[in-house]
Amino acid sequence: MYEALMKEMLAEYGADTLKGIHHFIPDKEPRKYLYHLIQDYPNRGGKGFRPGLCIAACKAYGGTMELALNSAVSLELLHNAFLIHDDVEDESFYRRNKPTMHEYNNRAIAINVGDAMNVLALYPLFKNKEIVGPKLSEKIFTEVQHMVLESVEGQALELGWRRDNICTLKEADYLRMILKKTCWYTCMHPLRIGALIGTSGKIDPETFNRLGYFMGTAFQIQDDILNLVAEEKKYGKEIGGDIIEGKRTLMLIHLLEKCNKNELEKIKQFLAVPIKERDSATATRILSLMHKYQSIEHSKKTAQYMAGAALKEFYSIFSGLKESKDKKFIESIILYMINRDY
Amino acid sequence: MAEKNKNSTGKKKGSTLTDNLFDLLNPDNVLGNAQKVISSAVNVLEEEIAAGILAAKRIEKKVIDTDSLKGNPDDLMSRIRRDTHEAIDIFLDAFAALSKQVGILNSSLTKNENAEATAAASATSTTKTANVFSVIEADAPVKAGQTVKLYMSISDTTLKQAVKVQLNKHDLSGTGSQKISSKNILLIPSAFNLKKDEEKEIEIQVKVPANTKSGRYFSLITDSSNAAVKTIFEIDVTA
Repeated sequence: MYEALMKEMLAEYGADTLKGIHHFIPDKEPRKYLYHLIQDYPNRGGKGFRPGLCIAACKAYGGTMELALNSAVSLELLHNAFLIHDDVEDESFYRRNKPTMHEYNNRAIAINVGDAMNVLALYPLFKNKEIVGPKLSEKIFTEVQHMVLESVEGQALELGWRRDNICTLKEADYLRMILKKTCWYTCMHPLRIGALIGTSGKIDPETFNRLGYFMGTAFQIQDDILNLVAEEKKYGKEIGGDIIEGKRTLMLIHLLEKCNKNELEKIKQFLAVPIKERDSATATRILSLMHKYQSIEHSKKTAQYMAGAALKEFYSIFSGLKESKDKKFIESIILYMINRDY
Repeated sequence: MAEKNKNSTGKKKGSTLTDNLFDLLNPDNVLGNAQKVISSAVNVLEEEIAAGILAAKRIEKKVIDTDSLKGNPDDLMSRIRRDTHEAIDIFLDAFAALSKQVGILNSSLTKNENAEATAAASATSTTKTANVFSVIEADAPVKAGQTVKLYMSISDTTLKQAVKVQLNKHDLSGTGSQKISSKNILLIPSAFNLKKDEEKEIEIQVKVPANTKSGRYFSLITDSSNAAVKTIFEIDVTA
């Protein structure tokens, strides 16, 4: 029941946001090398999680889709820009069941498309002043500025850890990294921005920090687990790709803490060579070790704890609001995370 | 001492498989694990938020550099004088241009403004002069028969107590003799009390009559309680 509602509303808000994205893409040259490519990732149909949360939070607090749409469009454009750049940085092959942009073009074009999307994301924010007034627009702009800064800081941490092959990370390091890299821009700021718009700037956005953080953490851990255990077609990325990329997931950090010296040395050696030289046989052995040391099980539980904490936060924040489809939608996302069976 | 008998995961050293199974089946243990994970996560969040606030404060300080300004009063005064002269120059240029084009801002008002600006310069009341005069433009042209909204905000950093603000609107004047009556202008709010450290947002609504000719139109907003507050706004009307 909650899963159906979640999917229905994600699809609805995702479609509205996609229309908005198309509206803000200039219809001019150079189409082949830029503007048509900008449409590619959004058209592949992501989850639409960020605009969905933003619009739902706005409506749950009494706002309308029209008031939140520009902000939602900006969030989704920035998200897709991040994805293009992330794929280059991670040297990923697939995104949403298709080759990544740098794979079917080249790295230079992909980076430029990502840059353009970052710039295009500014205009809906600028136009916000006509819809929500200048004061609230300024607040939203500051929210977005903070969101982007946190995300690049989180990405910097992870890229740095990979470059320096850091293998002594603890769970708290991981939580800090995904707070910065994922939580602010996936959940915390979409909720904060939506609620600010819905209340005409009257609510304290800090109210949503814990809720968004717990949701974002559960979301990221589950996404990383899917990378290891899901069917490739269903997931849309290469399975086990995160191991090859040396991504510092909770499973890898747990494994590095639990495995014996011999195993640790082999994993370190695997992670020390360039991505393209890493072999899938060793990656499969690392996956087996994750099973052996229950790293995946441990991560599933951690994600569940986080989703549980998110539900508690949700009830304390939203229980005072009148019942609405949008309130139920946010609740349904959390319930889906708690009951996820992969 | 109790901590010494535990490893980093909090489990007792030398625990048997039965002990571990019992731990797994024990709901208190599950709750304890969840609590540990959540509490560690919350600590990370609080630390990061605190670090963010501190970093933001440092950036603000760098941009404004208030300490160095305070430390050199001569430099501060020369900057104030320079900024004041620049503000007055901009003000006079804008005013002269508007007077030429619009033809409705009469000479007495010009004299009044010049007198105020000069007085402001000699008294070095820079913030007041620079802040109260502003020009607002609509982002896009408006068609005759439609309504356009513009926004302005009013604040006064020098206030010690709340003051009453009563905004007045004036006819919009176009190039030539075209006018849009002030009846078509709505200021929301038009009267209010401005408190210390408060920034008040004003919405200016202009309903452009259907028979209005194309062209640029200017008008002035004044405060009857404070002659220094003057805002010029302009709209571009298309047929």
